[in-house]
Amino acid sequence: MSSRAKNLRSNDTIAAVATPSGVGGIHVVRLSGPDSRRIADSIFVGRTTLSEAPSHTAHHGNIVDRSTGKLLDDVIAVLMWEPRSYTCEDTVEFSTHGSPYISGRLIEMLIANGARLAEPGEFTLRAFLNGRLDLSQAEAVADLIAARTESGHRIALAQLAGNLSNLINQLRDNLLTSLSLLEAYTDFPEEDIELSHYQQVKTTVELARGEIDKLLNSFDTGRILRDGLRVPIIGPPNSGKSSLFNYLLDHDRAIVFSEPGTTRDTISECISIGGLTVQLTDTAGLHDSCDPVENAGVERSMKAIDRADVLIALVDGTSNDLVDAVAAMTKRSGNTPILCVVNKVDLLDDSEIEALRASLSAKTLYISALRGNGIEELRQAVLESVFPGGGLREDDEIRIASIRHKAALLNAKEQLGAVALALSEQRSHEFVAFDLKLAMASLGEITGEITADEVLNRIFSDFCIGK
Amino acid sequence: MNSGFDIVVTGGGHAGCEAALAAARMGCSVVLVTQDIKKIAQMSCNPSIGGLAKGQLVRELDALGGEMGLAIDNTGIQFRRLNLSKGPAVWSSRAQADRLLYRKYMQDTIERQENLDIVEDCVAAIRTANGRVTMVETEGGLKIDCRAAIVTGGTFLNGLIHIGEITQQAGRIGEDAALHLSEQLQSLGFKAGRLKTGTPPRLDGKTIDFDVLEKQPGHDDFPPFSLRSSRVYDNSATCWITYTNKDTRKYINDNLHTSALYSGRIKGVGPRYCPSIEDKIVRFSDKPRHQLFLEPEGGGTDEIYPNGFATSLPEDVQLRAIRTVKGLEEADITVPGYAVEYDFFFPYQIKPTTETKLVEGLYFSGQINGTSGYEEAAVQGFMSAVNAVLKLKGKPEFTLDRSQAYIGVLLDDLATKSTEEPYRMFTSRAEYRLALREDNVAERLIEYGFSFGLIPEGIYRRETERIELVKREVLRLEKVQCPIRELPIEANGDYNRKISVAAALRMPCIGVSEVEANDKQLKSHSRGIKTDIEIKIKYKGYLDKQQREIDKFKRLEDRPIPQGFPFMSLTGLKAEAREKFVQFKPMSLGQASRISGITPGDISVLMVHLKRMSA
Repeated sequence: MSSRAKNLRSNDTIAAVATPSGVGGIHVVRLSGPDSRRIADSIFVGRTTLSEAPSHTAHHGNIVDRSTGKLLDDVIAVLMWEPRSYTCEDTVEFSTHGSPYISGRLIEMLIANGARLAEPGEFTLRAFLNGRLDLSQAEAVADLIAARTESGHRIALAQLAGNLSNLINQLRDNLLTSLSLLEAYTDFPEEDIELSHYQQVKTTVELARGEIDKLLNSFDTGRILRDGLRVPIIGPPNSGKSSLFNYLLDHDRAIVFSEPGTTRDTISECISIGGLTVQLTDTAGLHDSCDPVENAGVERSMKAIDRADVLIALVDGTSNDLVDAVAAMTKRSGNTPILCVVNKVDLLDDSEIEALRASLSAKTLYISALRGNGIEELRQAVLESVFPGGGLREDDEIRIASIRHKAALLNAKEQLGAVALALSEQRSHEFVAFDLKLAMASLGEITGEITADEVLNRIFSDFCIGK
Repeated sequence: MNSGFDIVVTGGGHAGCEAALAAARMGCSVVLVTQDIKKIAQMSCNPSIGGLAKGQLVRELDALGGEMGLAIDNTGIQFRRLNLSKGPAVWSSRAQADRLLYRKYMQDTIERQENLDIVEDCVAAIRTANGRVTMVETEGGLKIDCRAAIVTGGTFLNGLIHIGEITQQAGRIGEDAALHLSEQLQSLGFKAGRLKTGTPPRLDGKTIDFDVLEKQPGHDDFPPFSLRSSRVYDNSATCWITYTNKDTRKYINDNLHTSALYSGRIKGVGPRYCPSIEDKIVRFSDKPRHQLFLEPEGGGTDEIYPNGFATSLPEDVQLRAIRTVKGLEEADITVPGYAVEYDFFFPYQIKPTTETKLVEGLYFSGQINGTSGYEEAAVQGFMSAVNAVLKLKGKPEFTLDRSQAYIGVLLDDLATKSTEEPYRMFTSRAEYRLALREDNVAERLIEYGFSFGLIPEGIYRRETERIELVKREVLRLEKVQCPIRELPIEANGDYNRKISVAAALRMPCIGVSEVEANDKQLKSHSRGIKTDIEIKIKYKGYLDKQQREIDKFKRLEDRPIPQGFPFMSLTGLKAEAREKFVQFKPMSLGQASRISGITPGDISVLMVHLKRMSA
């Protein structure tokens, strides 16, 4: 490598999903930069310690969130140490199961451990900056980046027309007013500008933090809209899970894409309910068992439950211990919304159903997966569970769906926190303005850039300046 | 006399003075061509130097070896530091000058300077051969052979003055415009535009009732602008503050049709930050009053400059409007206010060195580049001279980037922004403002000034020792302990606990004076050094955070785009981006990224092509 290329060496570590977005068999998450070894070690648990393993080797292991001890996925990690990688930097590629949730969550964990989300084309950028690409390769990459820019352009335009950017622009506009105020006091100390608006800065910053929090909280529903709702059907053996699964599949199968079974004992298929993609999973039976083979299946079902957005807890209406089974599953679901569904009502008479209604929650649904009774109510209940009021409305609440937006908002939130602190410590305007500009730059990553001109334009239109 | 010079400087304003002096002092033979020797270093507008961000520019120029700081220290009559209630990054120095004395100081300095001749004439043409400057021709028929030319046209290039309905070709009132140079430069291929600026009437101080007005005195303990000065000339003058009122507003509104600005006679674009009084009253009609500063012009005259009252109304209307103002009821006008339109050349045509991209050895400085202000002009003149000299000596060019100096911000903005109004510096233009302080100019720039031979060795040594001392003290004070009970803070009962002096200084309410009793060495330093130490410690968190932003910025900045890079033939770029690149011809990737409308995607494509070219 030339000494010039060495000088251009980036000093931060970046991560991104390297495979196309959407649901595929396998997702590859790439991590590149000087800190790759440490970051990889911090989330990977396997027989080998990745940082000590030689280049160009592959290792099986688990991705574990050390703060909670929770297992995310089992993966293959491929190591390519500097300079023998695409970027010429230490690189680790994780092959995860093909779920946007898993790869997305893995990225979040990498970021939490010190990586930064890669810009579009940044791996390629590093590759040629570090002298990896030759003439003809670079030419091909130029076309690739151009294509990407174009599609990025379209996406950006679509978002610009949408509610999210309207909201972000509104936030930025309010912050810009505050910033202009601070800058006007700073740059024109001898002008007679009234200080009465000062409280406005504080109020605006607090409001913006509230809005950003709301947006951050919307990330999960935003992701559901983009990637689909994960709904496992759980329940004791023979409660009719597969019948329900097949019934819904026959009637609602999504034509867009389908995910082949990713694990041996749970089967997932995508269906569409009211325009929303639902990833339905038929799980292994949930019951106490000493059989190790069956336990492996149960383990996978547990995993599906942990990842669920909504659970369908199915019980056999003719079973004697169904009340206990419902209670057990409700307990197991934790904070995840759970729909209790009594199956096989076609085998019950009216008085038996009345008896069940008396002992179960009023929200319990009664269906027959065999005959299709109550299925429409079930569909509605699935939608209601994530979108109260039912279904998707055009004027729905504004949500964010991309990790990039989430990262930008988190950063903006942190900077606004610094603004609030500086205000409470009564720091001078230029320090408040400094953090405020960084916050606005983060918001600007979602919609566009802030420039010094923007601030000056605002000052000159709002204040009469001029000695 | 025409045996040829290394460098011809065209124009004797603030840019021209710095250019001529720096070039001559760096060892080149220089001739300064100006219409009137007596008007060299004239302050065409207000009699003051400095102000927000401008004070920083003057001190930066001084650390590099410029003259302006020395000139104002030696001729100023009132010195103030603005924004002292705020943090040190936005403390800015400003001085009222004795207008006559300032001119005289600069004229004497120039006349005494070796290697520097003065010619009283007006430049009419720049002659080139093979894309290089070879000769400057004057309207008086003089042909001066030269190897470089620095053009500082000010408001003289096709200058047109408006007072009400009267128009007159002039650069300043009573001084002829330069009527040929602009067209001649355009014939070489340069693109020109038109700007406007204005100035208020001058008042006879003997007719003003100062007793009823609010006074604004200077600040004691003002640190001189120049590292080479030990004291300032005089700090005893007073400014006064008064306000327009509803009578002023009504009178001007009733007579708006007589203003050159509002009758449509003025085509050029004026600065929003320095609006005429007509503009203020129309655009901010809800504001009941507008502030005016009455500034003294110096010892030799009773003339008063009413800052804030720029106008192009007819002289009789100006007088009646002025007389509606408190304290000015009987004031007389000595020189009327006027608006002036002039040609400028779009600054994307110059490099960060101020050399034009079109003609080698030709440099543009000051208002010709669309800027406004004495300080903005002076730093450009200096940069032109240094680079002209370095180039003639076959040495690498000298540029500053946005994280190093306001000078860098200025030249970079000129290279990447479209000029829609005269460009003035503001602290908010500098994204690394926290690092670009008046107190650290030596740390940032004196090394360069010394290497040019423009800073005396004694001054250089004194400043580098001071910088080292402050650095050592900052480290040492992290280790010196002081008991909490000695500090004016709430400590939750644990008053026996000790913290470092540095940690104490980082608390918002604590300064050196609260902690120095605990450390004899700290106490022994001069006030200036104590302030430096306090700033470095107190704002460390912010300065470190700023430094991270600077590091990010440098990564793109350090990647040059070669001259003559074929932007036109780049594939994969949006048409709009290609046009912008072709127009602005950015010199580095960082600069390219700051052109308005350029996206990160455009930069990626540019990077790939750059890599291909260099491979």
